[in-house]
Amino acid sequence: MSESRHFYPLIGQEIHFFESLPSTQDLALTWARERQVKSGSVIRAGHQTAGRGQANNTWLDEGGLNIACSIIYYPDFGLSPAHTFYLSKWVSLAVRETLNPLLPEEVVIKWPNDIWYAEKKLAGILIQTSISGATVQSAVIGIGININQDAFGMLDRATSLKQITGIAYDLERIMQDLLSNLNHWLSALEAGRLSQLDEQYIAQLLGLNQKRSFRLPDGQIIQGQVSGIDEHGRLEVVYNNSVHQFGFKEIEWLIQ
Amino acid sequence: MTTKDIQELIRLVNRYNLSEFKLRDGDFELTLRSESFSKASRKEVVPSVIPIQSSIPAVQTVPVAAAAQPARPEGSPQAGTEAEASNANLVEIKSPMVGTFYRSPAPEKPAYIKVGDSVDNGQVVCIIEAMKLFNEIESEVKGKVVKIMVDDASPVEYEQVLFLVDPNA
Repeated sequence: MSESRHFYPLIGQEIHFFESLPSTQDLALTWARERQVKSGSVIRAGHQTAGRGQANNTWLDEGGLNIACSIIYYPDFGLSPAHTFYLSKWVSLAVRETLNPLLPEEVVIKWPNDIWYAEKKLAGILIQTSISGATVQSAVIGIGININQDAFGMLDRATSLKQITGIAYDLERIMQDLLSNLNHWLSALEAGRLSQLDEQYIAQLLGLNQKRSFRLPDGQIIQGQVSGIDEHGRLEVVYNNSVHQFGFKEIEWLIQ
Repeated sequence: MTTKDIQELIRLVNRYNLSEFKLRDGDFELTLRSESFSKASRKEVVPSVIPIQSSIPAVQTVPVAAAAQPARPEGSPQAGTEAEASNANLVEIKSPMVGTFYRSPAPEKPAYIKVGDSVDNGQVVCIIEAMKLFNEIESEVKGKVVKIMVDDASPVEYEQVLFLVDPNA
């Protein structure tokens, strides 16, 4: 294990770098549970052997080509369980803002918390919290960003910065920008500037005010426009002249 | 007054089962009301810009009468007789949020707790998933699980009762 240290106000105060690790998220969950490290500590792996993606697919990681990290955060300012979606907004905005200046077209947030570019997934976020009573005690935030990976095998909906532009990127530079952006948006969250997070998150949503196809749980396919999200974080889609709200598994994007 | 102070006040209001608590200090005014003050109107009562949870914590001691008799769970011995359960001061573990209730960390993994199991303070009892955020819910009570009120993978509302726990078992 080798560690490097940089100075950041909170997120990234401590960075624990491992050349190889089964999963940064699993280690971070253990450390968070045992309160072994300070809030804002980052666990980063050069290579993950069993990285956690979405529940069903593991994150493809060739080693040294991508950013894979997990952040341990204790929201000591008092985050209510009803407001956990602000964690998604915070992190989605920070990741999007890190990648957007590097690419010619707009990087967007695919609700609830994937980062997409030109109809493909560029980065993924996994947030797990621990709640006791009225407050969120800890949050473990996993971030995977495809940077210099050339091929994604069967995952034809995945892409990387290098695949888009043909340029090889400096991972450390992007990591530093990511930490700065995470700290920037966290300060808005901790100061209670929630409307700023709301507005920016909605403004960057994939499908905002565009005609898109979705499949509903009953199999019905609809054409609708994303108009925003409600206070629970549900996606709002306008079709048949009215606004409908959907939870995560209640609507499926149909991407061409 | 810091958010920590307010959190501590909420804890005290809850501990002493107060229905209402008012504090005035110059321009600063704070009112805390528990569920028993007005069950019908659940208002956010802390005048703060910070998203602090102002209602009482999800777990509270409520005398649960006959309605809370334990159903006989399949595959496990019947937990307590009807006479015991109806007289017991059972404690509810409620959902702190809207979401989907999961009894185990992953589909192939065993459930966090089963009827008849002992549960400890701080022990994870379930996951509530909301918009792809996975939230482990910790128990704030110690006792024995008497009944699980919600089926695995079903939607739950804010403050919906998830588990009944016998703190004296």
